[in-house]
Amino acid sequence: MTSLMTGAIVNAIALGILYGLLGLSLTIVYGAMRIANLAHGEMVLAGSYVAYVVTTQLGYSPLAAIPVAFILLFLLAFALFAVAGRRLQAARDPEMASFLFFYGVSLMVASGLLFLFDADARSVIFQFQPLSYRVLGLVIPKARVVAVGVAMVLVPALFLFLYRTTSGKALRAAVMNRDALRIVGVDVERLSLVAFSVSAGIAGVTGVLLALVFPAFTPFSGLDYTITGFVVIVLGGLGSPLGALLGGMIFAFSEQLTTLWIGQSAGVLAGFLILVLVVAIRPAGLIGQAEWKS
Amino acid sequence: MSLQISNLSKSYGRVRALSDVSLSVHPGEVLGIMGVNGAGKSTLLNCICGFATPDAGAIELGGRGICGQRPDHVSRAGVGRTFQVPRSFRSLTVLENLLVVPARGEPSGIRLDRAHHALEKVKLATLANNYAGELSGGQQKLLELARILILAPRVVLFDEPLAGMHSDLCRVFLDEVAEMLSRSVAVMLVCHDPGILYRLARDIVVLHEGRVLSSGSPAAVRCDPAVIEAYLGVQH
Ligand SMILES: Nc1ncnc2c1ncn2[C@@H]1O[C@H](COP(=O)(O)OP(=O)(O)O)[C@@H](O)[C@H]1O
Ligand SMILES: [Mg+2]
Repeated sequence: MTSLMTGAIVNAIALGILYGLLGLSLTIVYGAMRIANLAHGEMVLAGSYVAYVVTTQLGYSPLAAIPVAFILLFLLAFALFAVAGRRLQAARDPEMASFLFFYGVSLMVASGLLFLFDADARSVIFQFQPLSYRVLGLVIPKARVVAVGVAMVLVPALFLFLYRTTSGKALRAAVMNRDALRIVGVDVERLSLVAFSVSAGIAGVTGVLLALVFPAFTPFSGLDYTITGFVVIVLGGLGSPLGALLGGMIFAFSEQLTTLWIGQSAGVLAGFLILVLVVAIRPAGLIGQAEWKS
Repeated sequence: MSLQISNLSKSYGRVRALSDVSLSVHPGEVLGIMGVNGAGKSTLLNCICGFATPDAGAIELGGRGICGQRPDHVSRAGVGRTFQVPRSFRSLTVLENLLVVPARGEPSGIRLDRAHHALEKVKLATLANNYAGELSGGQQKLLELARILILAPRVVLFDEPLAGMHSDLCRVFLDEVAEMLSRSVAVMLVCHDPGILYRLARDIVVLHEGRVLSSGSPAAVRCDPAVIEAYLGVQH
């Protein structure tokens, strides 16, 4: 195997787990509430800017940015949903209402970031010790190792929460059948509030991690993350946590390998081609079937 | 606890699904609800449980108004129900389906014991770790019944529980209903099969196009010419 090939595979695994994380937080919200959170990418981006402030401006480790990003995004989302959530779900067409609402939120967050940080590209500047590792003839930046390491703790933790705890099961149950959950006395609206806030917190953390992997970001980078997030969860199956992880991996691999074989511009295109194929053959996504039909 | 419904009306656009319906269900008794398809039976249950908001009328549970409340509130107030088309959590196991019911302070060990006990009662114990989506239609209805056993509501609404159910499974269901009655649970039983209602019900209400066509004891309803005409008119 050429070292270029090895490099692409290592990159794909690193990005795959981060994309998986991106999809996981998005799928929790979509599944539990049937809300397409168009502002998800901006929430991720806000996390990246938290990392920028904590590291580049204040000089702390990116690890310190993780709890800050989680708490900040959690609280902002909590406030947002407490104000608008019930009204959105009571709307005559909740999906359209939330679509427009979150589009507005995404514009608001992006212009807020533009106001605070200008349009220039920003990046996380922090000198890890050592700066990089040499493995299999590859130079792997420590920032990337840290990002993947954190994601590899966070993803299993999320799965434990979703598959082993009562609240996690209730969240997944809400994806399968909201009404059945309500008749056993679960306050689905409150569950949605918690799900939305936790999801935003995770989005914030994902933003910190992505900032360690991607060289730079601007106030307009949010849309890319939103699109990647939606591709990932549609690929894996809407509402399926396992599907989000699988979708993230597939998207990252196709992106990295086509970039290697064909070129940068083909990278993203390949991901979309796979998406179109999957949707044409299995409309519910790769493993969305069971939870989607209910 | 009694459930009292007065002058309930509900329209969907131009369809009057319920108009001016009054009835009551009392502890330890079965109120049978009969009526052909589209008579308004499920709509009645949806109004009681908070899935539909009535246009007019009152719903009282133990003398307290519950009309227009959210489904989770109605559930916590002590009303349980099953659905005509069973609603389970397909990708959770049969046991997990019962464990998502809020514990309300009950220790998890006791909760787990009760869940296993409920599954035994409805003869699903051997399937505890199968996914609910793998169950047959009749078994899914029994899973809904187990969910009700866990909740232990004071008023239970069954929406066509026996339709399409194998006769062995019907037996399980009927035994549980008998036990609920002995614990003074009030039962509203929507049923297509008049024979079962004639046997179980203290009173029967016959709905037709959203109205109460006839009501009273099984003997009285059975001989009511309006009922005979409505049923013969549709079935033959
Ligand atoms: N959610 C709804 N939207 C529109 N029409 C409905 C809805 N639910 C019930 N209906 C209509 O109300 C009438 C009564 O339906 P339903 O209560 O389901 O009858 P039943 O359970 O007795 O068969 C039917 O004409 C049905 O089409
Ligand atoms: Mg019905």
